[in-house]
Amino acid sequence: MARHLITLNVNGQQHQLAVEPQWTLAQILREELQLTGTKIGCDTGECGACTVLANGKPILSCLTLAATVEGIDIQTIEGLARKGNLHPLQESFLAHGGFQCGFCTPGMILTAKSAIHKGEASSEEAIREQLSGSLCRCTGYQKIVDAVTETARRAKQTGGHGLDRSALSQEPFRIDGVAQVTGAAKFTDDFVLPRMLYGKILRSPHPHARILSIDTSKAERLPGVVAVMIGSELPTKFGILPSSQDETALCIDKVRFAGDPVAAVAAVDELTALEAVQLIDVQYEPLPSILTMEDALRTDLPKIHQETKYENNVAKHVELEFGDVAKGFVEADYVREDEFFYSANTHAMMEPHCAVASFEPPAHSENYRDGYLTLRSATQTPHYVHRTLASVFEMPPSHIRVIKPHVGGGFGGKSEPLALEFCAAWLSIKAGRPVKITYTREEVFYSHRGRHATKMWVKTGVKKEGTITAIQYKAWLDGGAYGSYGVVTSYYTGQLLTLPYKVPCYKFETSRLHTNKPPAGPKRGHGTPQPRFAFEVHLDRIAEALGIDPVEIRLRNLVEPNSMTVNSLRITSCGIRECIEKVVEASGWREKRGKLPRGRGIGIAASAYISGAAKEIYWLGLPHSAAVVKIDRGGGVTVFTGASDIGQGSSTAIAHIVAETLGVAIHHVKVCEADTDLTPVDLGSYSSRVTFMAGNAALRAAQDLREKLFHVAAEMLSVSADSLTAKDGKMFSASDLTKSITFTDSARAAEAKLGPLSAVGSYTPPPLGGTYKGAGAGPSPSYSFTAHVVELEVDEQSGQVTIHNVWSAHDCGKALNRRMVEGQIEGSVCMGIGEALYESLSFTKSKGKSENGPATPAGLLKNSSLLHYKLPTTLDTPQIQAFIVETIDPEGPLGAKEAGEGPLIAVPPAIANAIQNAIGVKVSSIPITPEEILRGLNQQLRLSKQAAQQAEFRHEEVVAT
Amino acid sequence: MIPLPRFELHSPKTLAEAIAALAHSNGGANILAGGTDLIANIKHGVAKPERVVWLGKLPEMRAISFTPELGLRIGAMCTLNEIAASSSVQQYYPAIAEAANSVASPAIRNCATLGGNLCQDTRCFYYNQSEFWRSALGGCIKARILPASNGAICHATPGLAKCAAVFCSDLAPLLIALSASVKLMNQRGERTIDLAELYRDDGANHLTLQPGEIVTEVSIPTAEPNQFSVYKKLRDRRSIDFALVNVGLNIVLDSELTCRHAKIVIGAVQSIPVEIQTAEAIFVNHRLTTELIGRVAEEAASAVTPVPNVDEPVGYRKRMVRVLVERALSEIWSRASKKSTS
Repeated sequence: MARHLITLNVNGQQHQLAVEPQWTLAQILREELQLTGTKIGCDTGECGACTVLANGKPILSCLTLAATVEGIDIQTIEGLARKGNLHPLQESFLAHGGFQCGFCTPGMILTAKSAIHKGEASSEEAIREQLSGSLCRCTGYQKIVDAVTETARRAKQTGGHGLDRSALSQEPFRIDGVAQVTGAAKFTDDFVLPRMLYGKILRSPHPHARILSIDTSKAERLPGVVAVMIGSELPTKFGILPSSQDETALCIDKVRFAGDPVAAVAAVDELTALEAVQLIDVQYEPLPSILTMEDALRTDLPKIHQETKYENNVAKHVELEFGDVAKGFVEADYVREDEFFYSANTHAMMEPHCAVASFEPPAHSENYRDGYLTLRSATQTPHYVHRTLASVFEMPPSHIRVIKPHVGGGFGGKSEPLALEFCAAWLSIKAGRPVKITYTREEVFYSHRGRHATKMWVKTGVKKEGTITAIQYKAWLDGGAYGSYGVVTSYYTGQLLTLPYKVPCYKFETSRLHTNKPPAGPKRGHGTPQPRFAFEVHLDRIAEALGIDPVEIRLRNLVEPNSMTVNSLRITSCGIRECIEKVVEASGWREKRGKLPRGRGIGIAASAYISGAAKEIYWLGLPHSAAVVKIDRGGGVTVFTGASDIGQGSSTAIAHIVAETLGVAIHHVKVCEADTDLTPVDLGSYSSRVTFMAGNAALRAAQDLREKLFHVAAEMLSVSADSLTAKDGKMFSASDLTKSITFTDSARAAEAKLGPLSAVGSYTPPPLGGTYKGAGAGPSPSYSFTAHVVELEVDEQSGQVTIHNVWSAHDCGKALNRRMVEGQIEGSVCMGIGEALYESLSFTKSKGKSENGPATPAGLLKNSSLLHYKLPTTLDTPQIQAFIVETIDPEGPLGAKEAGEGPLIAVPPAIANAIQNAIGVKVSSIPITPEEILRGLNQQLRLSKQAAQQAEFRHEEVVAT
Repeated sequence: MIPLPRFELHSPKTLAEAIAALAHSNGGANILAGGTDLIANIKHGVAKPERVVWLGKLPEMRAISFTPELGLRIGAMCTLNEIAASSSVQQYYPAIAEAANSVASPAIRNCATLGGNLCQDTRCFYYNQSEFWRSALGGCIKARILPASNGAICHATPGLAKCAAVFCSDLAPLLIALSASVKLMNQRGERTIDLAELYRDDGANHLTLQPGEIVTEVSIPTAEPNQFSVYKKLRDRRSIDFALVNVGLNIVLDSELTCRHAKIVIGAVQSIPVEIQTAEAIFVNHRLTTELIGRVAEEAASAVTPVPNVDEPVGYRKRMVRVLVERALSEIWSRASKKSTS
């Protein structure tokens, strides 16, 4: 097809380009002009990440043909900073912490720029309206809105000029902040290597089927195709947990969900690769599919995995009892039982998965195993990817390097080896050229590993004043097609229910079930938001039955600092009481509860979460985290850490710890992270372990290095090393402030004396937990605590809920960086709102009949797009007030513990409790849909009519007698 | 990135050129206006044009004018944000500004045009999916993977031999209620039809456009004194989403609040905007009261049959028709009462 010769004006520069008519603006910007700050989050106009300005107005570059913007001034994020000076909005995003992973940031900043320029940013409401087409999964929008509000206000005052820099905090929000707000941060999909090919994966159309044959010959013959692969080429099984090694890179003899990967192709461009996968002929023999948890328990249906030990599709069954539960119930004055359901939902991080592989063939051998493989991947766990690649490819680990570039959010969805990593790597080995695979948004949904749909039964006994005497909990978890982290989920969902309250005896039973759906796995809060929803709503019902205020019943049962739970979880620092008191006071709970007009309600819920798991996934005897810190002659400090910054800012937290320890400013500290060749071991960014564990490792390395410097400095200053303090770029004697040396001088002297300066540190959690089987899941070196109060309004005609305010208090030990901790709280609240009200995976149900079975097949994921799967927008997210409660953890680095996951967990029950308070409708399932609210209201009406009739009837009876 | 398949792109500089480009395309052409519907559909493989004719270089299709004699005229290539920002629209037809502002998100509204909004494809979650997904489903009448004769069905309404995909335009219901007409042009000439006549009740073929026809302009008659129009939309989220139900409503009242003329149009529930003539009949020549509002709303709800092709249940959407109509009428009632007392 003829190319069009066009002239594009981008960021004030003219570019003459020969474009194919079907090329989008996003494609030209990213691929031809290397302006990779323009991101692709959905590629179909539903997320706003690709927003650029056209003559000053935001447009979506993924839906715009390049040939149609000729003569229009296009501005991308790269065009904002002028002559090395950041734009006031960029400065403001940095000052307020208006970003985390940075993937939505370019689109957000450009949209805000246009809004301010057009005078459409005069209020927070107007700003939220203007930004409402840009989805952010990290921040909860609060800090973005604050950043824009501030810039708009100043622009009005100063006629468009910048920030007052003196008002900004000295501490930078993030060490990678400038890269994030200028579009310079390189995500995996931003890498283009010479001669790179593009890979596409063919997926199963059937939820459950045997593969009879795969014919790739037509695809191989298509011009432009360089390599094709099928599952049998990589038969080694893997899985993140040693007990569920049930996946292969591509399916070999069976497919287990609609979307399961079957074959892959590498070609010169994406269009050719896509055409090629469609030419692969796979013959299937469909099998009955198991799509409900009830069906998974049946013994007359085929097993999805033959190797499991049960005769049905139970993947894991756990039963544990602590204390004498029967006795606990006997001692209770009131016993209540409730049933709950929590729907499957997914991470929907803004950056789709991407992997770029390159391969250097061996010089003197025919065997690919002697070559060198490099894989860049958007992963939370480079260590596990590295290990698994070595196992599946049967290559020496030393010949494989895994690098994690900037990652645009994970939330658990990128925390295990995934199909695209094997496919990109293997195709690269086969082709001898670099290969990139980027998932479409639809494929991100198939990759899933998100929240397990969970059906729950909970029974609690209490004394009449509300103290808990016993809890019994049972749950079925819909695990989908593969193991993932499911065994851990099966334990967490039971084990962590005993926090944050004192539970004298406890019994739980959980079954994780295999179904023919995308595999469930760990999502923010891993297995615990479900029981927390059940228990916190259940607890409100108990409080109501006993006539106790919901706050009061919680305060009467709180777990104490430095205590041990009945299931052997060791609690050290614990600020749950302060958290509850804070949100109760800030929200005006006591003035509001019971006094709001009908339709308006206020609710509370509380939770706790681990700061990393005390036990590793598989036993290697390695530390869980390690760090190397080195100092150069100019006084610069570099930390080598395996910890993966996935947008949460872990590198900044680690830099802070090292800077604080060495007494230097944080901008002297660089972090080299998550590169298996260059950085020491770290198990990954999951279970909220990074600040605690990688932070402790870095702390120890920095302390060791400081000792060395003190030793040399003490000699030079003729003081004892013990008397020295490192602060403000100096080392000085606490007793004689005139005895002082700069950090740089001390480093230079130390290097002259000791040779190159570096130190290592590592962290392994202390032995924790009980001795029973299963005691390994749940123990953590420390726990975070959270309380939320939600105020909302229910529209009793439409059933829609408007959340007006969320007050959240989180005990994070010590806040190393307040804006980052607040950002984690706000982002968690927003994600929790999504889970509570909007998000749920939805599948086709079988309907009708045709020759080959049902006319409409069941088990296809219907809402695999950001249009149909609904993340909250700026307009669905309220003002969030985040409060930090500091307890200074005795074992956390500088007293810190987790903040990334805990604040999500109690959001859905706080919303459910507020709805019950607003309209009296009991909420038992998540998400809470308008339709269910109306059904509840109808039932309420029916019951009240019945009660009125009965009252009348009794009245008549009385009169008659 | 989802690669777009190859196609020819024409960027005519005159309407005549555009008409010619469409006429000589053997039907394999799509009109590209703002692209927000079409490009997404091409990415999903539900539109597979050989030729795309882009109308962005035709300034004559971007004008908005108002005169009391001719009413409001909006060029089909005006973007939704231009329409919402137009002083004539804001002054005389604020409900149109509201409807335009309720579409998707601000960036979409900078590109999406009125013509594109009125001619947008129908929607269905068995259809607005990738090629992979639709082939896993086995195709449907609209996706035409299998011809209807070969067992293709409508998955939303399997009993019917017709596609039930839903027309979700935010502008069409209100503009129909306002008795808008559209000017159409092709090689054979020009014609003007009522907007309502642009649609037919067939999700797979919902536009009555003749081959090569372009919607060039939309005309809305001048508002009568005491005319009240309202647009209401229900959606899951407060941005981005298409309507689950929407209502366009236009009423002329006399000074006694007696209804002289009424049009109520419900959108996003069927393949065509549904004019509720029975509700209108209840209404005309009656005084606007709470009781009457309830009856009209009830009638509107019972007159529509929402297609089960979104997750929200049919019963809920039907009930929401009643709620939206009730809200729209109550708003008019309070505006009219204020006006008559002042």
